Amino acid sequence: MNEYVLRTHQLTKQYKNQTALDHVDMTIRRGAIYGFIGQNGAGKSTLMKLVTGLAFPTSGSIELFGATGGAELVRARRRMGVSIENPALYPQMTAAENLEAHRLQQGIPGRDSVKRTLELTGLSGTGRKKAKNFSLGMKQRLALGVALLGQPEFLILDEPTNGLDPMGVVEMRELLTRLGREMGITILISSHILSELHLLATHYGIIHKGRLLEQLTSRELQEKCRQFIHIKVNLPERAAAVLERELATTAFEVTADGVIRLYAHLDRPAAVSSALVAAGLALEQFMPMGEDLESYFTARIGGGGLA
Amino acid sequence: MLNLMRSEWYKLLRNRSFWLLLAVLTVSAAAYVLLTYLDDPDDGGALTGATGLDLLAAGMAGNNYIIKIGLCVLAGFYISSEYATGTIKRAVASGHSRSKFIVAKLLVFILGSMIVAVVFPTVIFILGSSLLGIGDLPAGMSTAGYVLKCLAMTLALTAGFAAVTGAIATYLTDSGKTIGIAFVFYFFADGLYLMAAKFAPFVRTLYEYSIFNLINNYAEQFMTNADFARTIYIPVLVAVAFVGIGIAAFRRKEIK
Repeated sequence: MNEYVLRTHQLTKQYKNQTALDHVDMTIRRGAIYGFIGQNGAGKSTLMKLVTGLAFPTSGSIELFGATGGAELVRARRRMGVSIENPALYPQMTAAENLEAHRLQQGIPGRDSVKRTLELTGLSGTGRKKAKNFSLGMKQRLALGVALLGQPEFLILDEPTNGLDPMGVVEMRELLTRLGREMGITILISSHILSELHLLATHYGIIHKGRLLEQLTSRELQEKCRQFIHIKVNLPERAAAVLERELATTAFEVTADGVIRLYAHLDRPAAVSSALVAAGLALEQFMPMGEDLESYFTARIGGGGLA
Repeated sequence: MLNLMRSEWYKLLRNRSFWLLLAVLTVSAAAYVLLTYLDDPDDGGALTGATGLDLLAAGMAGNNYIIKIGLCVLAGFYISSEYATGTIKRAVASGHSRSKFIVAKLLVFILGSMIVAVVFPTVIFILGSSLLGIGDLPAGMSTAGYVLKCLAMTLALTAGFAAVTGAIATYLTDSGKTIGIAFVFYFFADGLYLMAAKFAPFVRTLYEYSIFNLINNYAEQFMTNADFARTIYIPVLVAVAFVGIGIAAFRRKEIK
């Protein structure tokens, strides 16, 4: 069995004078939940469009389930489920009819699959209601249902939490976690809600201005996210002097709002707090913290964050 | 391919514009027959001599516009709307070749167009014959033969026009543009051909053998077998050619 579901080799896409993707080498292992992170216009959707065959690469190649081109690559796409950008639905049809149209297209035997998918996505109670009258959250769930209908091995989801309310985001995360971890479906997912992605993904790819800056596992991310002690005192300048004098460290920074981030002595918090209190400082906040995906991403692309 | 055809047929049967066209054409045809039937000759009525066959000939002439306009609307809402809703993306990403997908789409569109195109003359002929009698054709002409010829020519010409409209819709991707541009093109096509013929005489010959000219004459009762054959095979060839053009356009198209 092929270890990789998707590999791109020097994948490049140019639109007139603009390079949307610049020699991207992406690797997604079987069973991974791959969080694809980038600003608007960074190239996430472009890469997804190339993989799904909606657009054609200027150069480079795509390897999907080991298939690298022509009819073989087209056939390999039958093992994928896709939802790119807005939920793609027939507005005049009900949820069941949308699924049935896709079931017929894919030649999936048995109408039970439609019923099962409606239940899985929580849309079994929508009856004769047409998709055009669905909330955006319901549309997102139906689009996911369509993508799941053929029991795909690989799901490509572009911003599947767009338009979902907080409960909907949690439900979507739980569903995707179940699909990924229990059913072993490989997922490529892009999302602007990095805190959610952080709870879900096992692998990450950071793309910026068409270039894939980094790919890393969640463990590698954890190691790279810097840990620190968050300290808030009444006199930060004096606290800084105490840290230098008493604890012999300069591995800290003082933020604009007077908070100190201490990157040293992480295993000796009691010694740090004792030194500060002994110097007559009032400790307002004192807790170990770490950088999260958002701050790591922001640092990696050189500031700016998600647009 | 069969799966794609089944899916497209399923979608066509749930397309509101398809049913709206069928309903409007059925009601219009019934109203036309009833108005003719109720037209009182003692009160200045002028249609007293009408029979089912007369109404069929009149209906065929009127169907000319239905084929052109109706198909533009259907193409806009059946083919181009897939781009607007984004459903074309999941079709393209579904693991079927683009050629097979668009062939299935265009074939079902052509089939749907044929159904739309036969409604008006069929309702007119059946209802007209029931109320006013079938009528007679000149000696030596078979009524069944004439009706079947009318049906065959309507289907063939519709296939030709539907393929052209389908190719336009595939290329334009926007339902508004498809309806507008196809409508304007069909409206001015005859004039453009004839204008071009003044500068290049061979264009007149082209026009005479084109579907635009054939549809102007297809309601003729006195048509030679050669003319009939021409009215069948030329639209069929046009349909095949434009399905091919549709495939070529779709294979190169990037879906936004």
